[in-house]
Amino acid sequence: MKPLSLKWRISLWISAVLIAVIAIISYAAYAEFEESHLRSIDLTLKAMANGIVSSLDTSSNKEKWAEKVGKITGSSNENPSTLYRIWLDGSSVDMLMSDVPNSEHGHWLHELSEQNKPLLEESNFLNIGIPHNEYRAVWLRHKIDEGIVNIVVAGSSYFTYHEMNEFLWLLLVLGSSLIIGSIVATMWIVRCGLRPIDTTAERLQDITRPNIGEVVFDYKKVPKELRPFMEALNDMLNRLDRVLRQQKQFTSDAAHELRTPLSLAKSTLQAAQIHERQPAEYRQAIDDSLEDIARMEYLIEQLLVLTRLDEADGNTISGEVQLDVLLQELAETYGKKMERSGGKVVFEESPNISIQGNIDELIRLFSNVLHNAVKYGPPDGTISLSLEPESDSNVKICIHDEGGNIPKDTLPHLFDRFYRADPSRSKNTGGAGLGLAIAREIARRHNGAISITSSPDSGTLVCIRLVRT
Amino acid sequence: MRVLIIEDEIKIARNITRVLDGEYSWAVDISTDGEDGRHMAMTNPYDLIILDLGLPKINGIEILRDLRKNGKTTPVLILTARDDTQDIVQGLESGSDDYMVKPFDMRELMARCQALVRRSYSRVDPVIKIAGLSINTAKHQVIYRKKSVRLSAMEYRLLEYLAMRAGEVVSKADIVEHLYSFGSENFSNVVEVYICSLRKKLGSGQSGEVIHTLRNQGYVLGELPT
Repeated sequence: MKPLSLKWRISLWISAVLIAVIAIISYAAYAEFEESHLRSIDLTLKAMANGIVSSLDTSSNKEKWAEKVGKITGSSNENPSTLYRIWLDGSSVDMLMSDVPNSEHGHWLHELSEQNKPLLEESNFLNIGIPHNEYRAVWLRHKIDEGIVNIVVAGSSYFTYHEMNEFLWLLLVLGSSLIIGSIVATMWIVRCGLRPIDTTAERLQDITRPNIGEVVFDYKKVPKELRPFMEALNDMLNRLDRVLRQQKQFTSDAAHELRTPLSLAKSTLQAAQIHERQPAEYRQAIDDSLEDIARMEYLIEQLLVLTRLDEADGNTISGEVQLDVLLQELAETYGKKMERSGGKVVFEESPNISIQGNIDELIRLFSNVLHNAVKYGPPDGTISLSLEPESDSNVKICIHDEGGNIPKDTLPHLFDRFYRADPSRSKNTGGAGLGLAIAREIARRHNGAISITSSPDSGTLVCIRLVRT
Repeated sequence: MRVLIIEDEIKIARNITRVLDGEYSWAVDISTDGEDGRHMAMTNPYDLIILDLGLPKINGIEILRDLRKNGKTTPVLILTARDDTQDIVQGLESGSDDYMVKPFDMRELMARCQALVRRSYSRVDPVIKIAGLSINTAKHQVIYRKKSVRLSAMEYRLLEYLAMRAGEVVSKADIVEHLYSFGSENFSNVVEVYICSLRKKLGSGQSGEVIHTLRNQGYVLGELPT
């Protein structure tokens, strides 16, 4: 079954609650109304009965007494609204009766249930009659000289019940109109409240890649309850826009970086091809082109590494890596490179430290930093590596070189992709500005961080912090 | 013709130079950074500027805007790795005459360069015909009175420039500025030497000289201006 829409669900709930509340209120009002009406009838009847009793005690003359009773009850043959019957216990003949015994009313007065019979000198109230002709009656028993006299006085309560029915109808009409009104109001409010979602959905349909950054949902006019949703939506669109922009920038940078060596090789070969040349010129063209192709190869490899790092999920840890051993090996490898130009690489003695990580990625991380140190430091300078535990959970690896001519304002961008401190694409050093970006990505994947400081006096210091476990 | 290449990738600049100089006998200057490039473009009467966009110090678009703001009408061809439509539109709207994306085809670049220079001298036809002389600027063939004439690179360079401005008085200073790059040792009397050898190769016809000399003013190819 299809689930009910929100507005119907809310309406149903509200009407259910309203029905219950109205029913309880109606019942209570009805009962209270009935009770107060009957009480006022009862008081009158009781007063009449008491009047008859006192007239019995005082009147000696039977005719006068009958007249008195007639006066007390205000009843006559023309207006039988008050009925009465007075008889002695055990006697089948009435002392006095408001109506002829055979009439319908007299019939009711003669067929009183023994159950309702009150004790001596006490009274009971009872309902007699048939629907639409109801009577309320009081039955009183009193001792006189002749015996025990029974007095029943009955008054019509038909109008009471009639009024009560009208009251009940009124309650029903009021209650149902309240329910219908509230359902309509609820549906309207819910629809108005949810309209921003509809319009939002419509606008979301229109979003395409180029205009994603321009879409901003104005959430000041929407109901307060929907604001977090709209804010989150705006946030999400912003983030998407940023990611797409970065992606686009990355693609365009990558294309640019790849095109440069490609156009170099192409122009070299075409320049050589235009007419016959000496073998030495051809050789030169081939060597130049190969150099450019090598540059492209290196760039493509870097791009692939970065793409794989981006695509791989967070789970990078593949085993235990003995950091001191790894750094020692790297120091030796790069030491040999530095020796050729009169420099050296020093690895300071360190305790045995191992961490959980991916050894290939960590080698790439340290190599990229060392590569830069060799490239940008003085050729005959010293590169020093250090490894020390920073806290129980962190280790710090620092790589220091004696170069230090990185301009201060470029420091924050050094880890950005394709960023190079020297904007004229450093042809002699051949990088594409991806080494440090890759290093940072690997450090991040190991829940670590990488930072760089540089000054002409103290040289350049790159520190990598990694989590031990 | 004299060309300025502002390109930070020195190898690309050298390859273009090799073809422009070797095949087309054009004089070429190279600048590898924006600041220097802008200075050179502002102070020399180039016939064409090949401009890269991503340059150190000052970017290409800025150089271009500065040139146009200062009233320089030199044709500019942007040669860059940026292939975004947005970049191309911005380049052309900033005052460039053509736009090529790297990696480029050398022949196409040459053809575009020639077309730009031709247009800047209001020449529609690549073959310039004047006073019995026919100069095919695309193929570098010179025919005089139905006979093919073989010229040296410098002789051709001079003739092409005079042909582009045929009918006008071209001063010696103009010739020096348009035919020699920065590095070359130019002496104004060298111009006289080349004019002389050109005249010899073309021969004096019945209708007089093809190249006229106006004392203290310069030279005119074709008919003298009245």
